[in-house]
Amino acid sequence: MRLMIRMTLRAMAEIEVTGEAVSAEQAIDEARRCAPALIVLDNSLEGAMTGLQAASLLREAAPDAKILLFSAFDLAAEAEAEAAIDQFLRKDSVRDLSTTVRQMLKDRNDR
Amino acid sequence: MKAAFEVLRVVQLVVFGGLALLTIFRFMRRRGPAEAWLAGIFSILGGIVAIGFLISEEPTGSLADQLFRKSLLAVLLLFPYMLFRFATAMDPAPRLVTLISNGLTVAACLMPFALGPIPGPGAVRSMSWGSYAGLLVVQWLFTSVAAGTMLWRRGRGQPTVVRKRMRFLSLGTYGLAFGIVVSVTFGGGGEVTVSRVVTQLIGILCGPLFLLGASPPAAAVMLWRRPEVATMMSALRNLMSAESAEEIASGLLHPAMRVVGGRAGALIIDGSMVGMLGTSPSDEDELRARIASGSLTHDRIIEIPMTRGALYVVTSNYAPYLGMEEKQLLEGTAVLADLALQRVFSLERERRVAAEQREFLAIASHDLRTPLAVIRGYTGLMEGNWEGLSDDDKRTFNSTIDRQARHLSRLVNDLLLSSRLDANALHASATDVALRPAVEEALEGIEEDASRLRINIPDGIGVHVDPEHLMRMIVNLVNNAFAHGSPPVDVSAEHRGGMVEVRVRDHGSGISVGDRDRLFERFVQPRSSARATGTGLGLYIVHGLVTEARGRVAYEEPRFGDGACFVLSLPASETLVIPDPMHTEVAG
Repeated sequence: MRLMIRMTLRAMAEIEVTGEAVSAEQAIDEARRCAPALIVLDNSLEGAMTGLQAASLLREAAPDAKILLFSAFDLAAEAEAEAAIDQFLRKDSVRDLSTTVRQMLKDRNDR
Repeated sequence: MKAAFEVLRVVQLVVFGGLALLTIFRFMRRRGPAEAWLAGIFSILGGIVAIGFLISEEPTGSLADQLFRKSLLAVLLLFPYMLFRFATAMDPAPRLVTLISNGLTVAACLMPFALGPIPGPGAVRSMSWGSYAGLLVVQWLFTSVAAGTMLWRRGRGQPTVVRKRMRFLSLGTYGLAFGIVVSVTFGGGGEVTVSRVVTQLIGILCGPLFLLGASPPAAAVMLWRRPEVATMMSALRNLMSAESAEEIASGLLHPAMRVVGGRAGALIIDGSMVGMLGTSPSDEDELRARIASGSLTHDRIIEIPMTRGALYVVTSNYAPYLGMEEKQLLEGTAVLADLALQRVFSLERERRVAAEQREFLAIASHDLRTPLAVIRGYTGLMEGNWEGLSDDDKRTFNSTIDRQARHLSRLVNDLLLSSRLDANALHASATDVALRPAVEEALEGIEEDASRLRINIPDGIGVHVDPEHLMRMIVNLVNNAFAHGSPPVDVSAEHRGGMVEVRVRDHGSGISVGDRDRLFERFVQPRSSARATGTGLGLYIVHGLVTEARGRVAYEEPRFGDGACFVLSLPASETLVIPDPMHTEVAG
């Protein structure tokens, strides 16, 4: 899944993939290190913490980053309730990933 | 006056004779300790009244007659003494009271045999007989007042039926004592005097009081029990709308205790104490200690068995003697409480099943969507960037799509297999299978690193099982080990008692005790996982398939170190199969 997301994002000319992580702890370290503009966050991560649980910590590590929760679970309501998450995209809408990322970055730049 | 006196004598005979017969009949029906006491007590009284009716009031003077009459006197004095002993059988009297009562009774029973002939009615009493008359009155009064007072006071706080019975017995005892005082004090000699008539009347009036205490009619008992019945009806209404076993316990225990005058009550369901109530902490502690030690066989403990447990009530000292009807009321209520509990368990089961199904649907959706997302993602990438993709990328994407499609196929097969297991529609074709090559084939591609997946199955072990099912069981157990445990995962096998035991063991943190009892149920996810992984069907499918194969699967603690270990017991093949393609041996 991570490879597929990486390939999808790399196909977008304006995107540079600066980091990947398999667990929440690793993601927080990466976010702190590379200060990304956007984080594509799965809910199912290695380790004890889920993506939803890690979102607020990622927000602290990278305050300027947009966070997109990308999961096969129906987590729209939970994502809405979590202030650190900017948008939710369900995995069966994977073909909307590029458009969604593009729109989120545009909104970020317009801010 | 004489005619009226004779009529009253007959009425008295009927009353006390009838009372004696009623109490004997009640004892023959019930055989309880209270019934035995009361039958004995009123048999004495009824017998004395009957004999007194039959024999002449004037002694004949013969030795036999004297002995007979003195014996009757002694037996008569046993009546108040037996009432006293009955009252103290339920709750001991102060030691001094018991000593005095015993002493007076012994003296009053034996003293006549040391005196001269009994004076007839109207004859002048000697000083000794005069003293004896005083002793008789003192004995009768002391024991009667002691018995009557204990019965009256100790009726307080008892269920209505018990309290009424004790108090009627008390009133009858006081009344008869009063009658004895009147009789001895005012005498009347051989003449029919007003005092003798009054004494007869008092005796007759005590009869119904004793009747209501010793053998009350069913109509009276029904009337008296109305407050307890109302209490139970109110409790039952609440029980039927209870949502938990604890709610049932709190609604049941207080009225249950009230019905039998209980001091403590407890509801035990599935070995756990669901509710406990006592009139004092010490009563609760006593019942708790008895339940913990299992010493519940006691007069004062009522045990009402229920479908998955029991209701225990510690009664007052009097309930075993006087309150057996109340126990029947309690038993009826416990039956309804049992129904209410079944309803609660059913509701809990439904909620649990619904929650598990919701969770399963969420997990199944996730597990099906994930490979679909990967497939769609890569096909989308290929659609949009075909010319720009390298050959290596295309091969990688195709391989990934193929792998995800196979994974999806396995998921769908698991769901279908689970449905067939539910519907008992599984078809198996058991055959002799060489275990080692079958396991190696099943696990091919799961883990390339041999240090993470170690297969240690000797050659020559064969099992009698459907090969597809064997493959599925092994794959599910190994996938489970990687998903929930940690590598290395070891797969081993050995013969044991006509079966072949296949062990799949990981080196993770094992399965917590709380998760073990439902491992092989559907939709169950280990509580120890922070997130749910998989559909929760893997072990359920293994269990279904191994049962079909007449084997079993169980979790066991690893013999050494940490981790989880599952043991598949499969029927050994009767024909040992050695799968060497160069030469084949068959040993039987």
